[in-house]
Amino acid sequence: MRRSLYILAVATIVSGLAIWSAGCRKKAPLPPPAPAKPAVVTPSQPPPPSPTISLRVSPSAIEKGESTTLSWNSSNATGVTIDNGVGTVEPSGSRTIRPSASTTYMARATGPGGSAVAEARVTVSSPRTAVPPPPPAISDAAFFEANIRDAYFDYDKYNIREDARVALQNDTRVLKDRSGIRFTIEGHCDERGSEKYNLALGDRRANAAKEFLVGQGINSSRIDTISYGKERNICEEHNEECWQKNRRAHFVMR
Amino acid sequence: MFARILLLLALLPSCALTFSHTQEQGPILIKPRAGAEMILAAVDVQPATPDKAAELADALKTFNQVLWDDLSFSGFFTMAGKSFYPPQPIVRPEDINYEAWSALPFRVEFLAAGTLDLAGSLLRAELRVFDMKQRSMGFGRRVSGDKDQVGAIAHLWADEIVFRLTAGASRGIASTKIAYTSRRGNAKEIYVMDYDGQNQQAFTHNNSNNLFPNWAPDNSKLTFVSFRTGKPEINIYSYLDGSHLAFPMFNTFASTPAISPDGTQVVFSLRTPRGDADLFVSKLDGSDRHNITNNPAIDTSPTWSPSGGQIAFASDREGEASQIFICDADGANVRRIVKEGGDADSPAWSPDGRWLAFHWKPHMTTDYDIFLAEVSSGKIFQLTSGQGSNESPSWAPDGRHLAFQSNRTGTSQIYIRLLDSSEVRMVTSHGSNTSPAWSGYFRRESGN
Repeated sequence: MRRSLYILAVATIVSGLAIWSAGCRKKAPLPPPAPAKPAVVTPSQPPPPSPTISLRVSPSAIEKGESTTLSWNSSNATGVTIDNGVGTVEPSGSRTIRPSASTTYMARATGPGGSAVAEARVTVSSPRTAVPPPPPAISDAAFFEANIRDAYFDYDKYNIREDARVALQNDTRVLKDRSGIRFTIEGHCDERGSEKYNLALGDRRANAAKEFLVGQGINSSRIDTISYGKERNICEEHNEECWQKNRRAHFVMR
Repeated sequence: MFARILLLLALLPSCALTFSHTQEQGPILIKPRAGAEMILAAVDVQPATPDKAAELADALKTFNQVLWDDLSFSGFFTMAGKSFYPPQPIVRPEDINYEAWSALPFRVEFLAAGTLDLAGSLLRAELRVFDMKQRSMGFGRRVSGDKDQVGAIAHLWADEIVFRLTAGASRGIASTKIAYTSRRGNAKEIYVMDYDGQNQQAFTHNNSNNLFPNWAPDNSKLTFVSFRTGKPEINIYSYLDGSHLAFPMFNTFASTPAISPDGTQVVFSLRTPRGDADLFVSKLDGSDRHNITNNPAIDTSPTWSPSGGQIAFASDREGEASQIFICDADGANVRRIVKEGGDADSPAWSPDGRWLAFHWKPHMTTDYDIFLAEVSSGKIFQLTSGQGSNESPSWAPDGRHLAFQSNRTGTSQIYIRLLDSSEVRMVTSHGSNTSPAWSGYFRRESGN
């Protein structure tokens, strides 16, 4: 500012001197001069402010393949550009970048007041070659054993009742999770019915469970069925608790 | 409600029988009853010569016991108790003291006697029946066999006596066999035994479950369900040489086979694409297979009528529990036999076509009982009561005896009985034994 004032002062003095000297010399009377145009005087303006810019990157250290974020702020700028492929950007903002190698980014802000630059550096390192071992996977057989549930039936019936539906829906999830599992559904009956009829009823129970699973999207080629009627009871007591345990579609992995 | 009527003698062929409420008396102590016909005495068969007595002792004991049991079980005779007999052993016809015999408090009509002789290991039996009214020999028989065949010789003689003394009206069943399922360890194998429980022999040895045996009418084959390949499949074997006869495997569910009376077809229960079980009929090699029922129910346990024109079976097609139905052999004209509800299965058609035996629980009790339904009238008769669960009846070829399984002693065993229950015998005792199938007659040897 001082400098501007100084320049202004000198200009004023110089122009003042020029005007005085023209007026002091007496010469032959000349025709009266045309009235002098008044000197144009630009009102004095402060010089435009210089642009500023700041640039940062976070995180500043990444592994190859990872991304990071460039952020900048500028003022008094009419244009901001960032190199290394970023290009012209808004005066303030951010960009996600994924440099493949360590890079120093430079942002330049330009404006009437001049220009300004700022830099930020991203360090890119190669991923570790030694990958930590994944946690041990539970085998299909153990997974099956832990998660599959049998379906139970009412006396003399083979329809899928509500609790059996819940069990079979659970089994659907298990089987979709482990698509390599193939299995057999065994149909069983309690001790009370006739042996011949029960062998057929066990077959219907196994097939009812299979149909349910197929309807839920399990591939039928994964499922085998067999009836054991009342030939393979898992308990011998003569009470409903034991009988219910036997009236089941039992799942066995193949 | 249904009429519960104990089976009356009128149902039996024309031979006289006393109606008795007695259960399971010892065979030696049958008392003669006033007015009873056909009183038969069976004196102990004797060694042909005294010097053979020692080495024949066991054979004689077996022969006499087997003969006595066969004759009393036939249901045709009142056996005169041995404690009444005049003491003199009868070796030759002239040893019979007719005066002494006619002094007994009851009139013995016929007397069976005879001798056994031994030449090396060859047993020779000379057997006679005497007409005590005529005081002369009625008929006789000479039979030879290996010493360990003594029981079979006694059976043969018992059958001869029945045949002759019923004037040919009935063949004896003493030489018939029963096939059944026996639990051995973790497996259930098919066994065959003499009708009286002797000579139990394994027929299958495949260490899996083998169920529901059924004979070809001429005893040439046995069919049953076997899990030996993993799934329940129909198996047919020659009984003559034990060879397996080819039959299709379905890899689904096949059960309860029954060979037709003419021996050319088999009916069985088979899973359909719907997932239920229908009755199918095919030739014995599995060809010409076609379903005779077409119903989204369980149809199982078929049995042929003796003419081959109809089939009775069990089905849950009319509700929740299994009931008994009859249809024509082509599946037409299905009609229900047991109308009173409950739970019924395992029908067996009698050899004379008149009866269906089956097991039933009229209400949802724990135990089944054996019932007869008269096919023409639908009348129902109860044969067992209050003695555990009684299932799977099978007819002897004479139509006068039934085999069935019962758990009345706590384990499942095979029982045989005269239809009117005056003779009931347990013929298995070890392990768990189910599903008896009584054979047909074996080829009768010509007498001399």
